[in-house]
Amino acid sequence: MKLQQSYQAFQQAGAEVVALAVAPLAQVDGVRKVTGATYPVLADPVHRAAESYGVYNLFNDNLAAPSVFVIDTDGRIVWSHVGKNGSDRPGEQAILGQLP
Amino acid sequence: MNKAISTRIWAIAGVGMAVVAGLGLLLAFLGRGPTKPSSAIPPPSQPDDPIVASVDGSAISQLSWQEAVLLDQVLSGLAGQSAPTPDETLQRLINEELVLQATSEQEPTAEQVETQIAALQQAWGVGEDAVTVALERVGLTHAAFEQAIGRLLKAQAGLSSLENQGHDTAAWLEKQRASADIQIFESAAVLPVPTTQSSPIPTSVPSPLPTPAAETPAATPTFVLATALPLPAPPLADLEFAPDFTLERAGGGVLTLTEQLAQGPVVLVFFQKCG
Repeated sequence: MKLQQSYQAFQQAGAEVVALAVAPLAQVDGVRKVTGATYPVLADPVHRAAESYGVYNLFNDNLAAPSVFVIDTDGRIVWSHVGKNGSDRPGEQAILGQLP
Repeated sequence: MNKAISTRIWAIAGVGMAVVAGLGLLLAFLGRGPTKPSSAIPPPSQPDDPIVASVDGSAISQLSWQEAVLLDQVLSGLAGQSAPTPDETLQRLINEELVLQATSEQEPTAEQVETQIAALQQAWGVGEDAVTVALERVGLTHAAFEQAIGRLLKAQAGLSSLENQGHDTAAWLEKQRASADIQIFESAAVLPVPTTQSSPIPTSVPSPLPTPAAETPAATPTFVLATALPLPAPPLADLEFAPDFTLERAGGGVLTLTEQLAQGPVVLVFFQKCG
């Protein structure tokens, strides 16, 4: 899934995409500029968020496992997908179908 | 050595999966000769290293199981794959033992092991230092890694030998698992609960191994890691509500999840790599 290409579909469905990466802010910002991401991209340099979601260092790489969480307005996780490898990501339609 | 088999094995072990996961798949294709008489008497167990399983009287100790689990975790991490569960690792050890008992291949030389490790490191895109660091992080030595690779090479040779003898190795292994005296002892289930569900990564890839629990006398053992083993992060199933956070946003400002949720649902995406 090319996230930027799918962003409009998520917005039309009423959802906001928030991306995180376990990396310093400057590195995250560099990637944001390169990819042209217009959705929020956050830096999680001390991986606190990744740890709290249970996705940190699952591959012994000190990074977040590629993963997606659909969260409703009550803060409830209504769907999640944690990648089993670096390229294991759900498709746009799979995520859209889970939106509350 | 059968080239087709060799290619398949190393393509799996070196590129697609961790070595040990590849070994599990490899061993699923392995088989053994005529069944040996069963040994009804479990081998003696050391008090500080109980026996967790035996295969025709050959013991698998808890320490060797733990070491294999840790190696699986490290190597799966290096290969970018989810690690097998402790249960799957134990079944892999049982299959490995079946193969090694059935074949009489020579121990690989140190040079053969080194060559294979170099090939794996190249496939994983890491150097020796990264492997050593990953091993040391869980308290394992490079020697243990070399030993595991050596056993894989030996099992691979055994597989090739069996295929050269005309065996359908997958069917052969299944038959062996059904007929061998495989025992799983209480020491594999000392502590209550966390079963294989403790893995934070649901393994959608079906295990390449036959379903041994249904074939062995110990039908549904509860495998539990010793407390010394580094347990993975909390299972996602426990996360009903999204943990809140406030993080800096690329391009300026901060974002707090709860504030964002006040405006609508959120699709939270963790990137593995950044740059």
